[in-house]
Amino acid sequence: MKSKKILLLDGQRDCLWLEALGEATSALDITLEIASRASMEHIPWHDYDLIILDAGAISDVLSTISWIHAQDSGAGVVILSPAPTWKQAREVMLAGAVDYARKSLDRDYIIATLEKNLARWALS
Amino acid sequence: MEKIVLFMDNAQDFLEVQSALLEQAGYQVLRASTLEAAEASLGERRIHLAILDIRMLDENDEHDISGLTLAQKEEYRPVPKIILTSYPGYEYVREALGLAPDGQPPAVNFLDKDEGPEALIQAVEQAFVQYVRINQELKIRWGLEGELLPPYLASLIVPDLPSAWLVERIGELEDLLRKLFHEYAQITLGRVLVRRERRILLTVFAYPAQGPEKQFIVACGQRVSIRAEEEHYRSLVPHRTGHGAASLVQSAWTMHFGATAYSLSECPVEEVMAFADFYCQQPSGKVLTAVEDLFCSTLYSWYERGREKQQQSIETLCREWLGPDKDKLTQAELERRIEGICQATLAAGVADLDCPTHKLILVLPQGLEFSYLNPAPYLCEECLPVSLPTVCGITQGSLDGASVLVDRAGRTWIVDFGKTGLGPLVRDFVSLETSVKFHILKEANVAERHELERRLMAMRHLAEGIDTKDIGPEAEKALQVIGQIRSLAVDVVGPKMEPYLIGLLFCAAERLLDYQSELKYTKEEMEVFTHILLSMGMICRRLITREDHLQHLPLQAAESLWIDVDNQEVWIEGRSITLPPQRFHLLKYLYDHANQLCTRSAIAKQVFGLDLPDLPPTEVRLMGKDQINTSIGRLRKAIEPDPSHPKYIVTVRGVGYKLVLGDIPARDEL
Repeated sequence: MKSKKILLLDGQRDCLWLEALGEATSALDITLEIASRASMEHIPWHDYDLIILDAGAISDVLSTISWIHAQDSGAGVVILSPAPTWKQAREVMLAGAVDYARKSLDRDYIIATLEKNLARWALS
Repeated sequence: MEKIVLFMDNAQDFLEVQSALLEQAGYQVLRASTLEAAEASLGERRIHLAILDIRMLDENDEHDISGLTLAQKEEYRPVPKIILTSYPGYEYVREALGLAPDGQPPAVNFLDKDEGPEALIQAVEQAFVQYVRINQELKIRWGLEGELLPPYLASLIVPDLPSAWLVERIGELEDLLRKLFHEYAQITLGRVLVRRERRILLTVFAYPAQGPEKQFIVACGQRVSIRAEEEHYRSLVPHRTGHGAASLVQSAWTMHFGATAYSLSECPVEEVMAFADFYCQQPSGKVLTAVEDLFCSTLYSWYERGREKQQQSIETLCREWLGPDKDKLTQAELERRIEGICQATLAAGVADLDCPTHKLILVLPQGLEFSYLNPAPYLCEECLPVSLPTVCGITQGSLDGASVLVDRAGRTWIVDFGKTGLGPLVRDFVSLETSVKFHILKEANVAERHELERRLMAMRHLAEGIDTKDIGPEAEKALQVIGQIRSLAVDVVGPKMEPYLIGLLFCAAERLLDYQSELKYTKEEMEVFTHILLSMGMICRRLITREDHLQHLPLQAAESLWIDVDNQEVWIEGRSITLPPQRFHLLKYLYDHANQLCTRSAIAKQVFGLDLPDLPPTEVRLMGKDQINTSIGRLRKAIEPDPSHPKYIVTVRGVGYKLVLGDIPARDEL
């Protein structure tokens, strides 16, 4: 079976959270790739099962979500926020994100979030 | 337009005030202050949108998410929901607007009560536009002459609908069509092509505001079954274009109903009809064309896909066809039904049918008696001798007169995917044959049906021809069509009869389980049940006798030719056949004089009751050609392994015939 592939857009490199994310994806045998917004035009969107946006690093989350959907990649978009609010959660999910979660260092929390969204997005 | 909203909140005052504001805005509001009241409304009433509070049990309990749990229930998925709460949190938003385990979000919006009534009304308006999507401007012509009104359609889909909910369901059915054809300006319902098992198939002509007419076949029925059909179509049916392809264009759902619109390639819908109707209206040549098109073109790509050999026996796989009914398949239950059919058949004057231990005895009105095996013991235990493996693949699963559409030229389309799935490829062939014999065939009495089965049972393999002469016209047509089905099965499942017969046996068992002894049936219905039972008895005898029964018969039955005079059965090299009376008497005469010359005049006198010496010579010659020779020819065709090179009935030129039987030792001599 083809293994899953996740793209993190504009994640801050060399930080503890990225390390936790890397451990979680390794544990799930998922390939994690990181890209910057500057290279969005060149990203092979169809290669990915999930796309993670770091809401702490991207100022225009809503337009980024719209842009990604316009590429018709077939990937689910998940927003992670260091300071989640219900209004932002509503905003991004009504804009088409499939999940909005806390940007956590807890490896188990990250694993649960990724597993849930990969499984349910495949069904949708 | 009616815009009906369910509002669930355990805060009575809030519920009353907000509901009144929504009513002022033009909505009809159903109030529910408890979870139970909300579920009752969702289950019974016509609801377009639901507004649900989260904490329905204990306002002070932060772990109370009972309202959210209700929103997540898959059975309420067709109704769009807005979550309205005094305690918003991002985790609640995730649960409400994120993907549920079935891959769909439970709600379409999430509001804080503190955002005020304007925000609520705006969210409700937006939800009606974006998610409820009922086109109230759509003009609907309910039939070309107004004969397909919603109450009639609702009664077809839910015949036992309680009158208390009739108005609700009628409105819901109309909502369904207004959702399905949301982009159109007008639709005209044409006619009901098929109606069965709480599902109807309609022709629909749809007219956009600009552009040409579009034609659809719409399957409409109970939501759960239409949803299952759609899933089968998407996951199993080969998607192709061109001849025979049915494309799923769109689907729509309400709480209780579902509808799917298909477009048929290269097909004007005014010309199509169900296969059962086509069969009855068209001559056999055209029906044969349709059958060939069905298996060689329409279903061909299905059988090529996912084809594999499974190690499970055909009997085990066929048993699954009975679904939940297979639990009814106890020997006692089967024997009860069989006995019921025997009694009802006698009472209806159809035939004398009896079921003494292990047997099925038929006495036709003409006094002819036939004995077969009672199928009850053989259906309950896995004892039918057929070797592995079984060829499996994607099958339509319930091929019959209602699941195939045919146009005037005999081109076919499949538009029923309810039972589409993986299984023995023989299934579609035996399903259609069963449908022809027990549902489509009319105006054939028990004697004709028995003769039909006898001729079908005489086939040694599926490619063998069937004798279709000297039988009533309806039975003749059925034989021709079934012969075509069987010969087309050879390319898909091979020529062997035994797996095919097992498939027929379980298809017949499905029909047998429909019989309820507490009901009264018409004579015609009893003729069909009698036919079902006879078919099963004959199949069991064909399958079982070969292995078990032969042990109890003289060796001659297995090795050569033997006549069981008591049962009027003829055994040819281990195979039992039944002959029409005159042919049996001819064979019996030859058999009684085995290895001796039987002259034509002796045969004429002893078998046909004619004195050849008394006839003028020209008539003697004619008699020889027209009657004796023809009868011998037909007898050879029935008993000889190779009729063109007979080994049993040998011609003695210019004189007569001889039945040649070698010396077969008795069993106890071995």
